[in-house]
Amino acid sequence: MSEVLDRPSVRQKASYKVIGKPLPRIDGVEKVTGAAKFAADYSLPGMLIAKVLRSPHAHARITRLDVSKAAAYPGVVAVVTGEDLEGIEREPTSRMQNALARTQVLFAGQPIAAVAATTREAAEEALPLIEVEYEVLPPVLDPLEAMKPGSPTIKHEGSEAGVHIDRSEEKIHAAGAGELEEEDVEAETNNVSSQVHFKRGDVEAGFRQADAIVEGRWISSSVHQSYMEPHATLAYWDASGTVNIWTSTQAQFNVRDSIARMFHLPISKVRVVGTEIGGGFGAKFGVMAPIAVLLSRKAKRPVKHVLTRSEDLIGATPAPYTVIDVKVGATKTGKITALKARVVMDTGAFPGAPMSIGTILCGGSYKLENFELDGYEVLTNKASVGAYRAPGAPNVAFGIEGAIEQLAKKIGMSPIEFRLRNAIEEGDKWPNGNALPAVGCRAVLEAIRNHPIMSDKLGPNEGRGVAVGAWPGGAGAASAYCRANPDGTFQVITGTINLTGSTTALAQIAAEELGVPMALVSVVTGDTSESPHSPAAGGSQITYTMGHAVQRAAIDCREKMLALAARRLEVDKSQLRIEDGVVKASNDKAVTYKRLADQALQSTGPVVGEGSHRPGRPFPGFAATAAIVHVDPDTGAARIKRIVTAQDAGFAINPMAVEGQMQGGTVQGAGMALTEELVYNQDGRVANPGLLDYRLLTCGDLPMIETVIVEVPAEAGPYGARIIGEPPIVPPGAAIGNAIADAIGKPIYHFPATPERVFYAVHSNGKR
Amino acid sequence: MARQAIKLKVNGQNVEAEVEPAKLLLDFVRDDLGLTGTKEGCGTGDCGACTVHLNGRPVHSCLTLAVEADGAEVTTVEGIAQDGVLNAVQAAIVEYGGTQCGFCIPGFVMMATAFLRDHPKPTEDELRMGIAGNLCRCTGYDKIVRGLQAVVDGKELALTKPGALTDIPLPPEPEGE
Amino acid sequence: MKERGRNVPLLVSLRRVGELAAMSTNGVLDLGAMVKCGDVAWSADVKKGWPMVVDGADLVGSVQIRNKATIGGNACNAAPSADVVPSLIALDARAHIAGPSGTREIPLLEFFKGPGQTALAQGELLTRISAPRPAAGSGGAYLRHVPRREMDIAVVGVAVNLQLDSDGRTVKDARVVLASVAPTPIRSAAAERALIGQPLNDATLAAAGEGAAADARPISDVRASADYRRELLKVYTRRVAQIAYQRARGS
Repeated sequence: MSEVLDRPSVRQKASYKVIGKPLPRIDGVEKVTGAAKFAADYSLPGMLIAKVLRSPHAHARITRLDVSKAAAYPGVVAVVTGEDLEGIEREPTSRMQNALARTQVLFAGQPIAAVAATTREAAEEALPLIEVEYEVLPPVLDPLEAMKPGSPTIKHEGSEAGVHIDRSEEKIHAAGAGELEEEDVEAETNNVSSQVHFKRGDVEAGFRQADAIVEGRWISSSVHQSYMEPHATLAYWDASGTVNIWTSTQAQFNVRDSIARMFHLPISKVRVVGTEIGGGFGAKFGVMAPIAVLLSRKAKRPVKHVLTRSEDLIGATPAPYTVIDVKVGATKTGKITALKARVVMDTGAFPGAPMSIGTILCGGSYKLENFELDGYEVLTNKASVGAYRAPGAPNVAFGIEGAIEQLAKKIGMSPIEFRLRNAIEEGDKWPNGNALPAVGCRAVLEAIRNHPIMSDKLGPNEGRGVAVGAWPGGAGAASAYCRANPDGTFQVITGTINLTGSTTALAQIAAEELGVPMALVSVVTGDTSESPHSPAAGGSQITYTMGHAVQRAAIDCREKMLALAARRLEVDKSQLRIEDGVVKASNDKAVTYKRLADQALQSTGPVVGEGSHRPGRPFPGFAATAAIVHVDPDTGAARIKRIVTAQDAGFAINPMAVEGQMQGGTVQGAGMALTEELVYNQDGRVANPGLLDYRLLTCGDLPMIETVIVEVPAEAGPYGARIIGEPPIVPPGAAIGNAIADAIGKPIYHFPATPERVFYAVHSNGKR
Repeated sequence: MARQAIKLKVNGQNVEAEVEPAKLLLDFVRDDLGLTGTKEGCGTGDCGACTVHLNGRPVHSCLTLAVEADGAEVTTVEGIAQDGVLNAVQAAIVEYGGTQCGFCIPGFVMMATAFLRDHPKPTEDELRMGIAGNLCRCTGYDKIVRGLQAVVDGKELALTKPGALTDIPLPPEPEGE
Repeated sequence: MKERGRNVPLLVSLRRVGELAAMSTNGVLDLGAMVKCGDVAWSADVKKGWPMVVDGADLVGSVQIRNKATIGGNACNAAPSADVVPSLIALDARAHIAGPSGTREIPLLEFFKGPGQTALAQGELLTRISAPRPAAGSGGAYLRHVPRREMDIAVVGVAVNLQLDSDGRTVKDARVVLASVAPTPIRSAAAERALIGQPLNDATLAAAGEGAAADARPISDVRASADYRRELLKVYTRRVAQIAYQRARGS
């Protein structure tokens, strides 16, 4: 099998027929006609509907739980509680494995019991018949409070000293984080579930060399991924003992493995069908699947469990509330001399916050000789957090990039020049010691510097801000088949979930290698029983890893077809070339793929190519954003007038899809900066569990989202491509924050920068 | 409450059914008629994914009772493409890259189709405000808006051509083979 | 029904009671309780005669919501944030009520008794809301503060209806109605006092804003703090009064 192609040269790029072209998604028509089937769209004969009873209390002991009346309610077939978890693999600190509370409640919205009934109405009516008595305990909600001795301590059921922390998900998103050297610092703080410390040089000496120092505390609120499709799972534990699961997930193989491990089943007895997914952004790795599985096992019927939007906002896995203290110094000539940062990440009731990677990324964009970085993951009585697109990175960027912008202004240097002067490069090391391969930090900053947005004349009450950020990305193992059909078309068979339009890029890669028009290639996502193993659609890795597997599968298929053609046309294989699906020989003879594939069925056997790719090392992606924001000083309302994100795509296999990722990421970052926030009341309940008061930006709140794609090839990526999905959410929020600060002439420390927060920042006299 | 007999037209077809008075139009089209293109994103009228046309007007099917549609004409996303040919809004959203996960897209198709019928020449801001009741989490709206602007500008859209969805550009068989 | 459960004993459709869905702009503005917000917002006649009513109706929810939501629903829901209501109160609108013992009418302001509570007795229903044609030389407007431009709920809302003297400068009469800053929509007597008899200059506008802030009884909730709501009232009272003034001079 041929090795990966080299980085494409300019000439090679020009010769590509399909890759590098902005092509619409191959699944677009299914989406606009309503034909695409999402998990909640599936039904099975005899199917039951599941509903979950959730704790109204954030912290409590369950003193009595009686489900008998609910179980006897007409239409109810099964009720499950924490008792039904007996015999199941259960790490005390795993949120997924502790799908139902047993004797204690650790967050408001935690599932206590679940009912499966013949109709949704019956299930809903049975819930209030479940009798629960709680001994309500004082909750701890603020992570800084939680760290103090004397705060209520959160202890997981069955956990002893030295908790095992489930970090499997984090590794998917940031392969680098898995190799952290976590310095073992004696934990002297309450509720700290993990802690990291990174140090280089002498920070105090660095600060002494500084001509200017900026210090501050930045807070970013808990936000929710807010995929438009709430979590949905249909599970059927059938009579043969096979668990079939149709679910909205980014990672069907991970769900398969998790469920197999939990229920002590061989992998062959778990079939996960990853359906169309209505957005995941890191949150859909199977955390909700166990409830439907438990109910189906008990009811012996298919069970569908779809969360309401309110349940999803209250009880899924949002992104962490984060407090970052930053102190950074620089010389007058613009050299950063020292960085000190402390990241406190609120993980909620179970560990798993992206604290390590967040702390590393404090030093992700700049050359640093002296730094000291501390990270704390802190337990509180809130829904435990999950991954959200570049988990932890935007939170940290608010602080680091906010401080860097202030520092640049303090030394009288343009913020973008200051960043360029310190931009991290190939060979530099991240705080965890990982040396960087070729990266586009400088390239994206230069793209922003050269963009017209930087010379736009600002109107009254307008400000401009810039930020840069990075994400390491995942790099899992991948495989694919490429099948030649007797009508001259090809099907690429993968097990990867089409989260970001990656299947379109994969089709482009296959078409390119096969030498056929794109329309002749389709991509099929098989379930976990029928498809070749594929990595999770997380960590921005699908094009980066699956791209290799598909490229190899397509080349393998092509070479087999060429061998058939060589025999048929009676020439040596090396004398053949392919033009638009026709194999041509130097002796003027030609044969179509259609004829070759059809004939193979009658003679040598069907043609299938296969490709496999080993897990690789991550190849970080950088993005930078510039924003111009108008602030109404009377009300504090901020509005984006213009925004540009530049990203290093390595090589954009589908520039239209890359732009779409950049635009979506930019707007998600804008939401974190301006409107999105899960508000918890003093009892620990979410006070805004709906899309009216959990405010996603609407079309009317936004301008067009401008993009600049730069290409610094990634050696390890197919055709030089690198990760795309996550980097563009990292800098936009910080850039918008910096633009607001520029407009009002005062820093912004608390995000989202709601009109009220900005109003009091404008009119502050120390208040708030 | 006793079930209520209703008669309506859904995507041009006559439908007669008996429904619980409390049944939502959303659940009626999805569960009873199997038209699962209409999506439930929030259930509270805050996201627009469940938008259908009730007598031509875009409404939230999650806030409409099935009995309210008695005697009415209902159009869902499945009723927009005619004879396998997309309408301009559908074609433009695909061709300009407006679909990502696609969960919100049926709602956008319904809202934009009605909006552009009633306001064929909106400014960009009017267009944005016209569809501001539909939330999308993936795209940042940019490519959806650009696609709809292409409709406003009367740009040619390949997917509105008959056969565009089914014709495959196979190469001709070489002569003499 | 979505919020309070589906187990209602009886559900009566009023869809075929034509009178409830009737809208008239002939002399007075007469809005049947089942007239849709969109039909008001997109009516050229309402916009011409009662532009401040359009200001409010056009803000309710989204296009989809305005195609379903009714004037009567916006009123009977009795949310202090109802966008249709403040303008109608500022126009001295009256609520028409029918019940087992006949019909009655009350000033719309008195229709609201608290959050979710109206003056309707058991068995009564709101049939229509009527507002007189504004006097010559008057103009009104409504604005609200929301974090997003669409799909949001008023953090504060202010309706101002001004009538100018024949000099076209002095405020002869004023109604200032505030939303989302008390258990019901309220009139601000202090703001009205600050405007009446005065030319509309910076000092009067500031005084009207202070008056509105003083009369408000806002709460702190997930949408805003009480203090911030008072600050917003000062800003919005000024801005809305300026629009009302421009409209009055142009009328």
